[in-house]
Amino acid sequence: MAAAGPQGGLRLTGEGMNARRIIRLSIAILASGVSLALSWPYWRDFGFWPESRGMWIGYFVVGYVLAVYVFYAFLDSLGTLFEHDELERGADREDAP
Amino acid sequence: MIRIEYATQRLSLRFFMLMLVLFFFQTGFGLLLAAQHVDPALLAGVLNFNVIRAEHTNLAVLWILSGFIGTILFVGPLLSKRELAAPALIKFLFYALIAIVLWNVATQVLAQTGVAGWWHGEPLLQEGLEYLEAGRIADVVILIGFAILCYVVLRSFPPLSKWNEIHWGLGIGVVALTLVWIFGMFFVERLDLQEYFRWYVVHYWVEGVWEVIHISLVGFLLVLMFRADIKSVGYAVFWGISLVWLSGLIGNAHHYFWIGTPEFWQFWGSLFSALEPLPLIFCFWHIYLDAHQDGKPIRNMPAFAFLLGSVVLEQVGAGILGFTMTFALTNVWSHGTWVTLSHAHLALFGTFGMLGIAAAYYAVPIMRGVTGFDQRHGKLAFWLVFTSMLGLGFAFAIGGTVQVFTYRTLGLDWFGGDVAPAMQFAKLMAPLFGTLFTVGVCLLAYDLLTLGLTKPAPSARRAQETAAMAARAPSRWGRRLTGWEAGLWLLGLWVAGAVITLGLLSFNLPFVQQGHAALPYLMASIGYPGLFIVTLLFVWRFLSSLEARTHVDAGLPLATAAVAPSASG
Repeated sequence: MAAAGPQGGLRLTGEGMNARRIIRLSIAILASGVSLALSWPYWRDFGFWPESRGMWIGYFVVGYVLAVYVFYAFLDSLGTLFEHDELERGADREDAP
Repeated sequence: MIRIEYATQRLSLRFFMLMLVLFFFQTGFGLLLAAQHVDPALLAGVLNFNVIRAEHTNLAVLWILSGFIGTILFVGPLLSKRELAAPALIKFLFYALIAIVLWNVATQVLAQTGVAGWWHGEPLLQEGLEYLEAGRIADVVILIGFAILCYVVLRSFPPLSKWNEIHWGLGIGVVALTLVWIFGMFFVERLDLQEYFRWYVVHYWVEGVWEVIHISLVGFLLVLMFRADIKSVGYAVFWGISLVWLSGLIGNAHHYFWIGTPEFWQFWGSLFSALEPLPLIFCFWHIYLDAHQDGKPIRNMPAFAFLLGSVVLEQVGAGILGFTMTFALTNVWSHGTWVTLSHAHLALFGTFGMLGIAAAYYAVPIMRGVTGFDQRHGKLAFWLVFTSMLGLGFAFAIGGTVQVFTYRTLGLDWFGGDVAPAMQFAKLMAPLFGTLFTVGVCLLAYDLLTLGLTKPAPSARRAQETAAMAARAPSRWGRRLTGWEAGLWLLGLWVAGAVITLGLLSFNLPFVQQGHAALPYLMASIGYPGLFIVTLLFVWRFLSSLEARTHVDAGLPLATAAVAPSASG
């Protein structure tokens, strides 16, 4: 699952990568769910649908999927940022006399 | 010998100096506004509240832009590895900016007598659009100024094939700065449509363009200050910008809630605004990692303190306070109240203003060939403006919470003399913290204006030696800030933010609607002080951990920008 990387840091192998993706995706789904709940127009009785019910469902679904993507992209890129840091620290350690 | 690499970098100095002067006057107008809140009759009929407010917000935009231009001109040659193009145009831009400032300050007063200068359906002298009060004549000159900036940046940059992410960020940033401005250059009679376009400028500037420029400049300043790897920084800049756009372009819809637009915007505006703090969290970790990468001393602490302040206040003001009131469910209460002021002050001054000051503290000593300077003034000025801005944020937030309850929930009349007395405590806190802030502004303006022009006092060297002694024996508070600890501080900020959000949500509850304010007041009195105290302690802790590794030596070169870093990565 985890192995020593070329610069001494941890490098995840296939199984670990999958686990990490699942964790990130789960967080993204959960966080998007919370955001959706906070954004839901509760004060509307939906008696007035200017764009039709189908359009509203479209807004909800597309909005949710986009939100999951943005959360996932955030977690993924943040993870890479930390990996870069770990690699650079490893390189510094190797360069040190 | 400290020197600048390219002669045209010196052109940035005048913009930094102008920034300081405008900042001083903008603060003065702010202090006057705070005084008018306490005594509404003050200067009534001479300088009315709406006029001073317009001057205050307009000057805020102008000094921040001046800081941006100064920073871009300073880093531009380092990024391009050659001199800036068209220095004559840059000089013209400087004088045009001064002319615009003077013209705008003068024409805003016309709002008091209702003169807009209508000509062929366009208000030539001033228009009453919040933040965009400048009349059409000023608008056109500003557009020409932005076009000059675009030309200089794009002409100076290397060929497109050699651009890295920072080039792209700044290149797109200055072009978008110009294009988005155009949406504020025409008059629309239908108010809802006019509001759409007004927010195109105000919001897309702040959250779509200024953020992009901010991320790019923070990235490059980190490269300069810490010798951070340009490729890693480029990656962070790329994803920072991507996340800004992924969330902010639709997130702009949180401004469309109550202006007569279709109601689906209330859902999409809320949902995508909830994502807007993500790039700010990303930016925070970016600066944390780069600042802790090499563990070497920080040679210019005021510059770094303001840079850190910029990123942390971006997190607190734009990220957390923005988040708390961005949902239609909370915004329906907070909209247009002092709660918004709290967010706006911390976000605008914190994020963008502090960046310009950080860049000035970095660039001015280098341009003036200063080998070591007394950093005490800069550090003191930082703590004064940082603390007092948090205090102002607190005053606005508490005043805003009372305002929401008395004005929106109880439905008391703003002009009936009920709301203002209820907010009196907060209204007194604003000039108090405002005065403290003004002292900080005077100190930092004096420090930067005279930096390198006066001989350092003997006490300055002694102070540096004392600081060096202290730095060799770091206290527990000055130990290394680990990623886990930084994460816990960040979590603390967000927990306070969650309490504030729940407090604003609680205004929807039936018993609060019936006149029981205990719950929202309790949440606000826990959340806001919690947020501001944790912010203060966190920045103190962060800076202490870096200061502890600073072995101050008057002979140690201040900055390492003399050699341009490899920017074409």
